[in-house]
Amino acid sequence: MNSTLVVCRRELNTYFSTPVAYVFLVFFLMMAGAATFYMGNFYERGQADLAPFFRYHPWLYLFLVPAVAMRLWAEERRSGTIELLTTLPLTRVGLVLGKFLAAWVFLGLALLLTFPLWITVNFLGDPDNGVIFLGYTASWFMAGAFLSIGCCMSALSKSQVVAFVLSVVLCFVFLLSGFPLVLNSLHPRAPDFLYDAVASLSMLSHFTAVTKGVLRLPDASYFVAFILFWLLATMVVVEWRKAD
Amino acid sequence: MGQRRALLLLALLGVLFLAFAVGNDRLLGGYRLDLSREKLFTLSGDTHAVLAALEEPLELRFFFSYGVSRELVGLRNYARRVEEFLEEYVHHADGKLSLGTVDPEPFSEAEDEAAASGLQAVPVPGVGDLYFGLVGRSPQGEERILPFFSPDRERFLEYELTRLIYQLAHPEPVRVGLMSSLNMGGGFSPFGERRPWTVWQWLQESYDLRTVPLDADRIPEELQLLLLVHPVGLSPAALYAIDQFVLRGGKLLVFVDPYAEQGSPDRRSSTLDTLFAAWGVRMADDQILLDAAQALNVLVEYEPVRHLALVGMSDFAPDDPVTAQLEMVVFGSTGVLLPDGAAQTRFKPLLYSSDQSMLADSARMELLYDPQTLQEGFEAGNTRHVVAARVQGVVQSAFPEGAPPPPSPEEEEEGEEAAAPAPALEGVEGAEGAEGAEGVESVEAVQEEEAAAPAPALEGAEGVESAEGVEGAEGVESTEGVEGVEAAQEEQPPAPLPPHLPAAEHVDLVILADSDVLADSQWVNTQDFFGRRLARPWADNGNFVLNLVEMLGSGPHLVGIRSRGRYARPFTRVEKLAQRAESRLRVKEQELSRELEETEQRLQELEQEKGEGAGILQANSEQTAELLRFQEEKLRIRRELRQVRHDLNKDIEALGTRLKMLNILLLPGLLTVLALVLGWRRRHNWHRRLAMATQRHHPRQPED
Repeated sequence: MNSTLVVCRRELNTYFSTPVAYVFLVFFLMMAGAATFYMGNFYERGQADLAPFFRYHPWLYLFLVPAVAMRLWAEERRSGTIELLTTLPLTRVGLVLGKFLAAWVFLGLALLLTFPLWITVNFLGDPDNGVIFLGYTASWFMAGAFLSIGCCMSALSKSQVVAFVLSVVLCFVFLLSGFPLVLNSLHPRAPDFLYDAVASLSMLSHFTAVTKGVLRLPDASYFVAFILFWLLATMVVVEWRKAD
Repeated sequence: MGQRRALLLLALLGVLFLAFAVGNDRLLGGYRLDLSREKLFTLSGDTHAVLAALEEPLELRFFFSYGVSRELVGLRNYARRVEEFLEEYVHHADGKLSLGTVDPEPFSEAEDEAAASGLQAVPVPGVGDLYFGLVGRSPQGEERILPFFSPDRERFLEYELTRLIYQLAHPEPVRVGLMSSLNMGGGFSPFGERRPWTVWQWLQESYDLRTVPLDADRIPEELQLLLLVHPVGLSPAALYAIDQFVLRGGKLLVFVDPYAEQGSPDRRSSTLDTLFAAWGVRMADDQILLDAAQALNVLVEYEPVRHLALVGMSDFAPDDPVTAQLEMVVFGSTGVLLPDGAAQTRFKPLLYSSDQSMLADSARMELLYDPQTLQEGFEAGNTRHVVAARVQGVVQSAFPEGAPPPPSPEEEEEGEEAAAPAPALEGVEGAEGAEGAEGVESVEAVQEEEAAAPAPALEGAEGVESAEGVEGAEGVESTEGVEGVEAAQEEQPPAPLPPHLPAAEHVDLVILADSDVLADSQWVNTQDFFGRRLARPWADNGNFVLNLVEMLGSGPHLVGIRSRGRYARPFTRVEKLAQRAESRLRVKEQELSRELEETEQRLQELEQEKGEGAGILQANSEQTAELLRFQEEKLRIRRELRQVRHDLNKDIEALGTRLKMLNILLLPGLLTVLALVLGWRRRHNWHRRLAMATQRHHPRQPED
């Protein structure tokens, strides 16, 4: 636990010592705002809820989260500091978890900074704030899920660009796993339960379900298990590739 | 870690994850945390109440084509949610509900069962028919179905499920009595066939609708709800009957009217002063409501004219399940209701006029050729008036001394004439020999027959049986109020009235101050389509009445659930802006229209003068100048009118733009500034530190 906090704090410091973090935040906020108001027609629609806001999160995250994740490990491996890290009195778990948490907290901050929108919708009407709260939570966990994929890919490759591309592709596959695009690649005679399994991996389905205002246990466990799986995979990959 | 080991571990993780995904939904499906304000995904208290009241076990069979729906992920997800919801029902029904799940595969017995029950099949090309419905059965063999669970009706899921269960548990439709001086059921008259009113047909279809004559001296025991429409000239006996009906727990839905356009000319206004006094309600006598903000347009000589007494009401009491999904109910020459200060009852308004309204003498509606005349002298009173209200609570009888004495012979004759209008005595079955004078005759024939029969036989079914022997009395089958006919009977002493009830604690009734609201002309267009009547509603009057009947008749639970799932959460702030702009527009529009009229009139006068003086060769330059000036005025006023309408949206758009800028640019802007400031400070510090460091290592003369 100690290692985790140490790593996490260090990472966060690094983020804010360069303009990169600010650029990212500004970009995210502007895109999210523009998508909500112009693509989602938030104002013209006349409904006091944030559906037009949350609708675009999966697609915003698809590119922005891998961008955040790609530098987590690839840089360390390329510059060789990874050896340095592993010699420090830090547990493997702490290392992986710390980096992940730092990025996740950062993404959480980005989400929090959209609070003017929440104020706006409460100013305009009487929205269901419980539903909005769940929406933000679901969005954060989805970001976490994408991030966990990004961590793994980042640990896999020395090149940030390769990590980025791999992350985007995988995130895309999981995002749409319940949809014909992905399902059709399964053999048509595949057993029913396999179809169901692949379909239930669809992040979009789980995300949309939660933004309706109900948190079903399967949805919550999906996100938790997802992140867990990919972080474990990251640990395996870090161990494996640390020698390179 | 070697490559092989790593890959093995990753593969293991993958398999585990996949296994988890397979089991996730199945094993963990039941638990949920519902944070939505209306708790859309948990069972409401109303449903719990209905479940708790179940006396006999009911069987539910849920049909979903799992096989056929492989590719339809969205539908499958919804099916899973429906199934979970059904399991919730079973869980809370304390053993009274059993649930079976069936996959009606193509060409299977299960599919036959689904089709036989009437479930709707949706063909999936290349695969088969998809079923997604529910069949409910009661031990008595009653069957009710939900033919197809459409995902876009998800918010009504609880309502439809609970209603199905409720109907299985209470298969008999609510028995509604109709006591009306307006001919709602239609029938044949010397003037031709009159169609039944659409709202009457709707009530017929959903309920066990029976007619109660206007001169009844008691309301039949088995009626649960009484619809009292335009009660004109009710005898004290009839009033007493209604009074006692309410006190014994019967529900009442009253449509009184200070001016009923549907009523015959000598029976325009109805009141229930005696009973209203006991119920703690007043209706302003002979006053109709004029509402400028919600007035509808009628065509007078092809010109639309605002008819201030024809009002499209949309200001419903908030959070009332009856009105939650209604948009507009059209009232015509309606009165207004007020609570009586001294009453012990609760007066709950259901529907309000706008605050740009006033009361006017109902006599103005007589011979109203041009509705525009109603606008003369109109002054908005700035208060909203109540046109429909619910009255509940403790009520004392309006007849503290008990039943009114039976009428003397002269009174009886008058009473007969007053109560005689054939329409009220028509059987619900309708046409057969029950119209105009004939109707009265056949009923009187029945009366005479009854007079011959021993008194006790008049009660209930026996009375009907003996009357069936009378010719032309088919219509009587449904006049269960045969007992009511006793009041006009000639010879036999009437059967004793039930014991007098002096008061009651839980009276529940709804009063509307208009009866025209029920007429077709106020809410629905009907067409004949190959022998069938097609009804196309353009207002919600029908739904309003049916909601009221459902709420009063079957209890609050169903209507309570129906109103949940109101996904509509409008921008109230924007709506207020729109309303304010509307009223500003209205005022300006009226001003400008008046100016325009005056100007046009002046123009006309000038043209006339000019025309008269045509003999004079010299054109009067002054007149021409004035003409021009007035024409310019006219153009200017027209332009202003257009401008006002255009400005209507200005405020709203301005707000939108401001909000967009705030949300998209504010925080990014602040962050950028923050970044720049921090960046500048860091560089400044860096320079300073560098300078200090170099100084330490290379001490030199102080800079000048």
